[in-house]
Amino acid sequence: MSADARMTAQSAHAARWLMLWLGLLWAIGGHAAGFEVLSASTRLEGGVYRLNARIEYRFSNAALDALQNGVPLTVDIEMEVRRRRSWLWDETVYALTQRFQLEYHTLSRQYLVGNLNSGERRGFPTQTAALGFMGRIQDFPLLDRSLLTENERYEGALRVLLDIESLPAPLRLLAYLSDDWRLASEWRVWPL
Amino acid sequence: MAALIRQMARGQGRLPALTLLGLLLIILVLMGRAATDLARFGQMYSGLLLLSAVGLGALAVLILYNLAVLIRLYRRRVPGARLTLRLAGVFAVLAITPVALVYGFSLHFLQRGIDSWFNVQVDRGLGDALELSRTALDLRMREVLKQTGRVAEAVADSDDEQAARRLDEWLDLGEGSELTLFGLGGRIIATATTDPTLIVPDPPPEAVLLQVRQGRDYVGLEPIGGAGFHIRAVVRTATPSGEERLLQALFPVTDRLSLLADAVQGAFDSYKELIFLRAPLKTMFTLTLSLVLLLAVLAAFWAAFHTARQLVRPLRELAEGTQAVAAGQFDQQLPGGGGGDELGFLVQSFNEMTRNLAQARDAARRGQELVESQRAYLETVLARLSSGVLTLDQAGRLQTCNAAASQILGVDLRSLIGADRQRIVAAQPVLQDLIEAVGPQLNATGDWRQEIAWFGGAGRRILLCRGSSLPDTVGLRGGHVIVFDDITHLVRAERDAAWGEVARRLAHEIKNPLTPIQLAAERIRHKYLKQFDDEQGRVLERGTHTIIQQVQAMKEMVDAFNEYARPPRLQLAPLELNEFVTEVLYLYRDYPAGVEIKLELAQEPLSINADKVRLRQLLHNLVKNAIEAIRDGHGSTLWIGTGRAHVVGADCVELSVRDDGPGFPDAILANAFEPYVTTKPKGTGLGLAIVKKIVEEHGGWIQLESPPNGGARIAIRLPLLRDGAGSPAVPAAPLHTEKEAG
Repeated sequence: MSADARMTAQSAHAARWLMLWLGLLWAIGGHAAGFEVLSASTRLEGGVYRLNARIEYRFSNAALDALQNGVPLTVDIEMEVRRRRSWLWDETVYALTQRFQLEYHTLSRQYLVGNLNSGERRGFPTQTAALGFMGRIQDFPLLDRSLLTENERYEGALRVLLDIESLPAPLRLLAYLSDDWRLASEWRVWPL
Repeated sequence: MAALIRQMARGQGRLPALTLLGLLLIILVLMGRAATDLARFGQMYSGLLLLSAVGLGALAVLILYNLAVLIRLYRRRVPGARLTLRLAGVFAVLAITPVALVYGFSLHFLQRGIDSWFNVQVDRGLGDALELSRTALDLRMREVLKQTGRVAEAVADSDDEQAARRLDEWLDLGEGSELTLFGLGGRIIATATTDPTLIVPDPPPEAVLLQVRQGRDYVGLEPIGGAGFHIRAVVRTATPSGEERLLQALFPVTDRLSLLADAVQGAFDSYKELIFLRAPLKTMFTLTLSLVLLLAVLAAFWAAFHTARQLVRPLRELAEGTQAVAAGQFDQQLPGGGGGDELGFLVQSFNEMTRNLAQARDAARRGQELVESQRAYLETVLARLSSGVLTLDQAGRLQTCNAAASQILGVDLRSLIGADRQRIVAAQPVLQDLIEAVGPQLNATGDWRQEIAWFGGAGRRILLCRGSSLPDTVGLRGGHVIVFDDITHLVRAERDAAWGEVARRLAHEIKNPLTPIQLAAERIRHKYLKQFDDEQGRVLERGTHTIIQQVQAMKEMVDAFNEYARPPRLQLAPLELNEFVTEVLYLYRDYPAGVEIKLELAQEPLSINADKVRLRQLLHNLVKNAIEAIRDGHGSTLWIGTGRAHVVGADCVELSVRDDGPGFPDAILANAFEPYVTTKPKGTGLGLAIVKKIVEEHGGWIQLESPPNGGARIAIRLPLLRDGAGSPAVPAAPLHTEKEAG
């Protein structure tokens, strides 16, 4: 084997390692646990603001492990309507929380999503389907327009977070301390 | 907050501290309940955890503060701090050891206890039960799928209306609760349901639709609402025209099966959750236990501090009290004597002791004050005495003296207190004669009395000394007390009075026969001179002349005596001495050569209150006396000076006459002012006696001095007339003009 060939083999080896590390980094970075509000907007229909939003839930492995072991996970979708003010911080004029509970039903091998506000519960054969259902908010009646003052600027805000307090008590302390459990999205803000 | 901590640290805030402990205990009990009964207390867990952490933190701060204060006191060596620290340490160790043991064992049992909840057989059994349930349900589901397939075949070739009818028929025949036919895009073609309230049928989830469209039929068990299941089956059919349709059938699971499956599912889930939560559960129990341990330890610490402080406080107060007593403060009474224990008894005894000490001290102080006041009283009396008082100790050292003693002796005796004879003599040689004269008396006991003539700084003095040996009793320790008076003036006054009496008698007894003698002599001379011859006549003439002359001389002498004995009748008037001296001495300006008179007058005017006539006589006498002395002694100059002097606390005018004659012999110096004391061959010897009398009549005093460079000096001091003052300043020197006047 010539020196050049050896060099080429070495550089190829190095390139493979680099690719591997980069791939690992991408995997960690891309699949890092966390929630994200992909889109959120409102539409005025019949004097009522209706909310449409898409949310991506990326549960951590620890959370998914707990889910598989019969621990229900509760997700809070917090919605706010804020009045913009020039000199002061924005005033929250309306706030609402939609709570979804995700649990795994071992017997039927189904993922159950319950809306804790309405009591409605639906089963999904796959986790993706269940998360897809939870992550799609369609024409949700947010607020009656008559409740807002004319000539004021308002904005809607939405975020989603895992409710640690709903976890079993033994898990809670760990959940407060671990990044795996502190799952929350940024506030997503849009003009109303 | 800081004040509260301080208050609690001092043990005063026992109630807040106990309340804190109680609250923490309640919180920990609740936490224990939360750990075991998750359903009921689980929600409070986080809050309780936070609260207990804060409470324990507060307790820890309290204890740390206590410890810091104690260590600071220990470093400052405050009494009691060392003992408190030691006691607190002992208590803490005593309390911690069993608690730590229990903690260790509890932890061990806890781990083992939780592990023992789980059992492989139970695990497998539950899994098997779940599998059994699934198998049972699977059978049913397969049956449902078959049935659904049959329905699908039945409705496959019917149109929409027929389909609805057929579905109804199949629903009546079968056990299904709902049959729905979906067209393309999820459009509901026909539906049949046993539930009349249901208007819109429950569509299958998208994932199911996808699966079915791909050609795989779906059957699944779905939980409904709170409890129970239904089986959903979705199959694909096609119309004769080839239009794709989906048939969904919902079949309820029988109640019994449903209940059993639910129970199995519930048990399995709980068990699985428990297994999953095993580690966190252990952590939680351990945490709770540790918090309880921490509470116990901190409470033990606090109790240790508190108890130690309570125990040491009376001891510390006793120590402080003892120090105060050592420092001489007897007023301090210790609190907390009410306790019935031995410490309380100790405190009571201490208080009684300090009370007694305080009383004793007050009594001693009163006694001392009494002694001091008596001493001050005695000193005041002694100071006011005109007699000199001295006390000597057994070794002859001077112990006390009064002001009069110093004044009479002309020596500052106070500086000699504590000095023995040798040192006194060394310091004041003038006192040597006096000490030698008194010395023999000091060796004897009992009272003595002695008149001592002593040559002091102010001339010859006659002192009347009375002495007494002091008893050798407590506080006196023997020694002598000597009381003496300067009786020089008294003696002189007595002598002067005697001379005055002699002079008056002489004048009276001698002057009466003198005139007849003179007349008789003149008559003899007149009658017999003519009858005698020259020789006899001359003898007679000389004889009678002698008689007459001598009688005349005797008359003059008697007059002089008379004058000396005459009581003073002064006519005092303000007088300027310098002018007066100048005026009188003007007469001597042409005095026979051989004597030069020099005036040394003061620049300032010197006013005195004097009788001009008597003062002139005084001056004449002095000048005459001096000139005669100069002539006899071959001197040449006479100085007459005036000036201001300050003698024995009073301002005086001094008139001095000094010559360079032979001076006074020592023998005469002491008695120069007595009548018939003279150095001159001629003269009555009354000159200086009269001078002294005049001086004393004016409230002054006279002094004879022999200056070291020869000659004689007579100094006369008369009271200075103060500006505007009618009466002369009284000199401190003793005067006895009145006695003489009598």
